[in-house]
Amino acid sequence: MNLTLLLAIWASPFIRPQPGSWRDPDEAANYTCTRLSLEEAERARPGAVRPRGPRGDLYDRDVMLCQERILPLGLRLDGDEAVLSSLESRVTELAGAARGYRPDLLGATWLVEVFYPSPAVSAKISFAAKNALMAEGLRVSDRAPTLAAGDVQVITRMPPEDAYPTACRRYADNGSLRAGEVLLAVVQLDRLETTLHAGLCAAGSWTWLR
Amino acid sequence: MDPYAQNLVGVGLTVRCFSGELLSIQEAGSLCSKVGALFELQGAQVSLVLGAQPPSEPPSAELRTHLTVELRARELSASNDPLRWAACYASYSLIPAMTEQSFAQDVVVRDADGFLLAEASLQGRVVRYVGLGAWAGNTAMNYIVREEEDRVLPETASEHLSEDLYRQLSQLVYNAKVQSELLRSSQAGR
Amino acid sequence: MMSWLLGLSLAFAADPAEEAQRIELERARAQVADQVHLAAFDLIDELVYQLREEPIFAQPTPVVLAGVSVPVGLGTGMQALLENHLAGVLIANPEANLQLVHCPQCTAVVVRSSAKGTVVSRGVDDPALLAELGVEAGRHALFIDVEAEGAFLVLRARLTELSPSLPIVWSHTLSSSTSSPALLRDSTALKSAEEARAEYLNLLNGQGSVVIPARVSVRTYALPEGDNAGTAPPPFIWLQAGVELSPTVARRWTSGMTLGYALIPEAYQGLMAQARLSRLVSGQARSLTHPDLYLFGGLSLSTVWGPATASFRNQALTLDEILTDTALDEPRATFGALQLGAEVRLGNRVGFGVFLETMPQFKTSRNFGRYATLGPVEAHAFGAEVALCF
Repeated sequence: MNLTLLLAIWASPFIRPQPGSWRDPDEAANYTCTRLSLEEAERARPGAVRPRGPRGDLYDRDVMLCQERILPLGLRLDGDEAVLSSLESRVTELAGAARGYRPDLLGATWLVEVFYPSPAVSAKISFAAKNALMAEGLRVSDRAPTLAAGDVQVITRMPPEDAYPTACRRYADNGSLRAGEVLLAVVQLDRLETTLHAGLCAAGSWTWLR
Repeated sequence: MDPYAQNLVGVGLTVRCFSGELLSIQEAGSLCSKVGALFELQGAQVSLVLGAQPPSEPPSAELRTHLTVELRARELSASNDPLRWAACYASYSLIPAMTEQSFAQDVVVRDADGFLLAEASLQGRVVRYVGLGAWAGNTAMNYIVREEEDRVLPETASEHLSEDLYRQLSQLVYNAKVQSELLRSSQAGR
Repeated sequence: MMSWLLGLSLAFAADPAEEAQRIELERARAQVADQVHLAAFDLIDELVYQLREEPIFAQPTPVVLAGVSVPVGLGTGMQALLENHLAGVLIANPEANLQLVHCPQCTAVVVRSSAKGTVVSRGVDDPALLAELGVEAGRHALFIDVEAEGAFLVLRARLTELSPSLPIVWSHTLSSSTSSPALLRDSTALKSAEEARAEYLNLLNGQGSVVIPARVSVRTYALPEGDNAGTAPPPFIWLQAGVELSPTVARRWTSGMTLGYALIPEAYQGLMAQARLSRLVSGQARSLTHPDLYLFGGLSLSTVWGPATASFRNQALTLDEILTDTALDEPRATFGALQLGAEVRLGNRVGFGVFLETMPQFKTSRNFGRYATLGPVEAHAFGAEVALCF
């Protein structure tokens, strides 16, 4: 036994997530890492980080907190994964934007409709958006406005810039979006993009929020 | 998204690179030309600008969409633990020494009017092991365990990093393109 | 590679190789679902705990569990597990004031044809129809959604009143990370995440700061080399007992004092006093679930006597000495030693250690060889020990 073994023991508690001898790049891609200050790390993982000594540390330390994705990349379609991975921050931002854009609608009842290719992901976005609107202190309903079959046939053939305003008018005309109600529509316009757009429909008039 | 597909046909793109604490003017220029080539491959008409200079030629008027991509790089942290270097020397470099550097590539995409369409800060971290032990271990793994495409060679890290950066940049610019088209259509509708 | 596996799974799999890949992907999904469901249970526990602390309704209120959805890509088996767990925890915590009721009309897909047209919907989406079907008005529907968002699992819940305008009366979003250890909670005595963590740390820290170790250790002495080499002492077996104190509650540093006795009849006897300082290197605090690794340094004072202890002196043994030693006047040696070693402790109950020992007094002795040299220090003895702690 010499110094080597002792130092190997000393170094063993450190596990690093980067690709290298023991981890291939696909596996490493499943980690998301955040750099934290010592104080933040103590809050995030109590007991796992040596606190700063009373007279300070010998050298500056910060913490790289790496967490493995719950669902490894590749189990879902890439586009869905991109949207779902940051769903909470996206809907929080959209709800904030919606609330800030029309302060006159604070007293209205908000409805949510999602236009996304996958029904399962749509349901997730809708659920999250409703919760985010509730968190903004708005009144939200689970009702969904409806269109007649004929309207749907016409509207689905229009380009997006015409389709959404037309649908909005039809919602108001057929009475499924009543006075005092506002619809937040969350839309993916292009299959290749990873952003979600949002529009507001109130009293038959349509506005793109982003 | 596939960075080698024709994603940006009919888009005029100005790539603006800024030098700073992390990148010298030469390095910023080299980054600019690589990123420009990437977007040209995707069908965009690209012009490159260093720093805050005005573009050399005005964007052609027949293109529907004009975007400006601004690239800035900065260092987030770097560490070079003297204890590990000491251990490296003491063990005749059997224990690898390690250097670590984290950096951020700030990307901003604007439309022709200077309106902010997309913004992201892409962060990367490079960890480098130095020493006979690391080299021998890695070489043994390369030839005994790893498949040919998984081998870790000196250039592997920068290849992976570039590939990742290109994909993310492409996605960001594509998102900005859709956003700019949406803005234009909603302005036209008013 | 995974992405083209996924592509294949979406295509019509006919080829046996593609079928095998599809099965592989399903297996990966099932494995993830298995790992995720415990984390989802924790979030459900946390939700019911918060509902118990701040009930939505003042009185017990009937609620229909209208839907539980699981992360996109994971199967319905997990959905059933979550539903059952939620029902179990709500029943065990009546203080939450939510009474789950059975309402097949609410969750079934219903078709209504009228003059306005034919509408296909779930019962909960059409309260007017529910009223016609005889479901009493004013009920509430609880929706639960669990989604994997990057490294976090996010649980969303909302409660909708089943009246014509379907207002959402309450909603809540909880987020967690699966890389944190599972919370130690059971369904009848719910705790907040902070309380559970504090309890876990208390358990770690609370096992007393004094431990009584009993050890059996064996030391072997290196054989001397060279022309003028003497005779090394035989291996010594020691029984030791003492007390071990830890100044920090997490047992990162511990110090111990032990007394030892060695006896092999007709060969040797010995007494030893030893002090030791150990440092935990496998973490910040002693672990309940994993072995702990300590490095230690120590010093000891031993006195040994008996015919086999003649080697504990600096000169090589002469034939004369070996002969005189066997007479009544037994050899006796008293010496100090310094040691350095590592010990693995399991649950702070069982320990296994190895160490190197140097005896400065015998640095020039021809009766001792060396196992290793650490700078100017020569390790004369190598030892292994097993400890039981009380």
